[in-house]
Amino acid sequence: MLFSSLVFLFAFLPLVLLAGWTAAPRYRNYVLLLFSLVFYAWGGVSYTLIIILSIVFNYFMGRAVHSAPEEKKARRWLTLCITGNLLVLCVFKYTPFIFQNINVMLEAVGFRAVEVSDIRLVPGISFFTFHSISYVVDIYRKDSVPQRDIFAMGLYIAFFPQLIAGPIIRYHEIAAQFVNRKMTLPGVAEGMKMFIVGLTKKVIFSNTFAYPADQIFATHTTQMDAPLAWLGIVCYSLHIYCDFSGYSDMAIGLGKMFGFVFPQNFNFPYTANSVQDFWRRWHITLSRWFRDYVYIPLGGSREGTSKTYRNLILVFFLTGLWHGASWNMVVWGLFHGFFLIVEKAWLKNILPKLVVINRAYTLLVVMIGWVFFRAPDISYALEYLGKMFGVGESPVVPVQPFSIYLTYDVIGLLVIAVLFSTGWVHSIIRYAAKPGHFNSAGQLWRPIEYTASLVLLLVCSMYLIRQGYNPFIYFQF
Amino acid sequence: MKTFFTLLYITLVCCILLTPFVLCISGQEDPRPFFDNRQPAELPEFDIESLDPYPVAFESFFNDHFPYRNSTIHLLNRADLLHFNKSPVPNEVTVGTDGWLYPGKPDMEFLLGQDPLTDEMITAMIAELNDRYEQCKTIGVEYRLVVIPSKVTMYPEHLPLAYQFTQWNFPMDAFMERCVSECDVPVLYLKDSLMVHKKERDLFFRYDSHWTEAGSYFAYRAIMNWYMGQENESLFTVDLDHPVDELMYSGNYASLLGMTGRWQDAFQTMECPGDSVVHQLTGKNYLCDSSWFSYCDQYEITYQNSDSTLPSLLVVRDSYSHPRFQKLLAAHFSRSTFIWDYWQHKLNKEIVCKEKPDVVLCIMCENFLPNLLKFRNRSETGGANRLIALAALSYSMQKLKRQNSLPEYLLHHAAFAGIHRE
Repeated sequence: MLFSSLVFLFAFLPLVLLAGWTAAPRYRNYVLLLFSLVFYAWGGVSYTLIIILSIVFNYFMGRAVHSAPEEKKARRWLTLCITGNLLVLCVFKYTPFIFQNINVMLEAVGFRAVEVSDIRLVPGISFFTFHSISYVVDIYRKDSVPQRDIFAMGLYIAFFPQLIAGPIIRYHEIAAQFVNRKMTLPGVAEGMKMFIVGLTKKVIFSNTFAYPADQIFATHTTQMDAPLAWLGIVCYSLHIYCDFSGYSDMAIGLGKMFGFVFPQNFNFPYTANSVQDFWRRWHITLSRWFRDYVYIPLGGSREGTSKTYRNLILVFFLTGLWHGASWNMVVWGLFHGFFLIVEKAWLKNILPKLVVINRAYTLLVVMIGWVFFRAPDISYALEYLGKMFGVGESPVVPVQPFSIYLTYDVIGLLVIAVLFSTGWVHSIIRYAAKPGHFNSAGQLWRPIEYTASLVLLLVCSMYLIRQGYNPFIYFQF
Repeated sequence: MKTFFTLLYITLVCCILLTPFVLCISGQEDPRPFFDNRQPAELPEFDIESLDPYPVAFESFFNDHFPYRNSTIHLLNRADLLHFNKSPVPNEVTVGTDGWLYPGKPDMEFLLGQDPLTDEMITAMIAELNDRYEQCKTIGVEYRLVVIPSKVTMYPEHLPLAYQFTQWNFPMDAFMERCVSECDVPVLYLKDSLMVHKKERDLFFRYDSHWTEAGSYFAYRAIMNWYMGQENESLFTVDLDHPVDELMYSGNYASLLGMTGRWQDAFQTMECPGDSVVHQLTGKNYLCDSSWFSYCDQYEITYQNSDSTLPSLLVVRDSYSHPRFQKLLAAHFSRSTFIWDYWQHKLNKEIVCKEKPDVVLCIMCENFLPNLLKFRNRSETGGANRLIALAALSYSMQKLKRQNSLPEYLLHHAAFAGIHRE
């Protein structure tokens, strides 16, 4: 189920809010877990068994790690648990990719390709696997104690707001909230506001930018010129930002409605002044997860320059692979890793001094990276980059007019999205909200904010209703 | 005060979320009908043994029956069209200048040559036509192809400004050039014949994809002159200046945009000389699959002429061959059967063998040209032509190939919605 769907907004959400708010505190976790499993089952009933098995497996593994009499045994249990989790991830996410590569090699040496049965990607598997690993590692490190209640532990793994698109919450950050959390009116209102902001980003902005981005990336590069290629990547950059940060905002907002406090996942990433800074602002919870559970255990930056670089490359290789089972994603990850090393080695002292150039440089690197991220394969990505920078053959067939994508609404939303991405608007809003600035007592701001939020909810609902508009030129049954 | 506003806000959000439910149980009816030109999804049956497809089916039902759905869509579509000059369904309809509407982006790309026919595809199409020609020849039937130019080809001057600045590369030009030397099948492309009359009359509707009565009349004359090999005096003349009836008509493009009744063309009905010469037979000889073709009553139409000395005709047609156009053609043949084969434009060998007409005319609009490959039925020709199969596959896969790499979380979204989009 998508947050940006009518069935979620007007059926699931009212029901879960009603149940979550009216249930006695001691039953709330059960109610939320039940609804979370229904939410998950909506995407494929048969997948639910996998997540339930994952909850049970990790629950017992957590207890085993905790109760192991000595460090060595605890480590064994931990290894077994991580291996089990990664194995499930590999099977349901990477099997086709692995066999695709094996088959290329087999065919190259004259052997027959191996046929693999159709294994479908299990929704949210990357997220719940990382949650599970975080749970047992935090217990092993004694940052947390294992959950006694399997339902509370299940809720950590499967809680619907963060199940599909994060944020990835480390167990020790949230463990206490499963036992003791408070639902307050301001908290619920704040959560609703945040959810509506996220919904707006997704439904109005992201979906609008998706059309030109998808169409341009579906265009053969022989029909493309530089303006079209740039428009495509600008739209895609804003689309992916609005989409992903919108989802995170909705998740954080939903959490707040039930008294949970989730960490922030985005912090104006396109204003970053270096690639390193970008990763402190983009998908923050993933970066933290990799830092805490991969980079630091590998030695981090404590074991000399070459090992630091090795660790960085490894982390970004895994980051790329985590985003998708394809070489494109790997290249995208390594591309970022490469610039991180370049910055560490040579640009560390220069970049901060170049006030505007550093931001332009970061944005350019990030946008070039997005080309690898979005393109169907590496050769298309390279051709696309060639078009962006005027390299390669001129178009052999008529060029697609880039102005067909620049409709008034796209132009208007592009301007708004760019302004909001910079953080200036956010600063203005915060300034205006402070008592004594925009209004003497600070009381006028709240009704304005709430009214705007309600209007946005209505507008988003209308757009969602139209998503189901699927007309045919000739009557179809 | 602060708490009051907060409480009020929470209450109002909850009210908005509960409104559809309240409207539903209060039995409020949407004043606008469902205008998607399809059946609204039905409530799926809950079957414990087959749970996986249930959520998607239920969601379709929920979306289609959402309170005030049609009014909301209509409102947003109007806003898009009137304020943003933008098509709400860009893959189905393109909004041109001066109120002209054109097909959606995929068709535009094909018709303007941005998604061109490759040499291999043209070779495969000609091979397919030659194959049909040979099959017909063995049973003593003549096979001919008539290609109708699309509205885009005929009226490019009303295309959106963005397209005015691009180079057009009409796919039929390349196809016809090759056909002249390589194709055994006589092919008539109606563009030139119609262009002659473009200044006199509107040959296509503004809000519809089809030609007007005038357009079809000039096409009839061009087809019959071509068939008979010369300007022929026996052809009917229709007085286009004096229509027998005129009504306002919302075209199929206007309907797709939800502008039925608002955007209308004048639909003039001319006298039909064919009426007095032929009569339509009522019997049906061929089965139509009504499970997915919604115009089964028009699948097969047969006309009988009193003059049995004339040759017989079988037409594989599409929606351009409307009844008056059919009768005009039928008047020159002893028996004429018109088959609308769900826009597949196949040879329909079984029907050809049963009808054994003197001539088979395949009349298709140019944007269906790739159907020569797409719906090729191997069993009809008794063997797989690898070249044609590969060209057809390559055509279908061209775009899919470049669209299959979404990041995982976007894939998740798609998988959850059950919409692995093209």
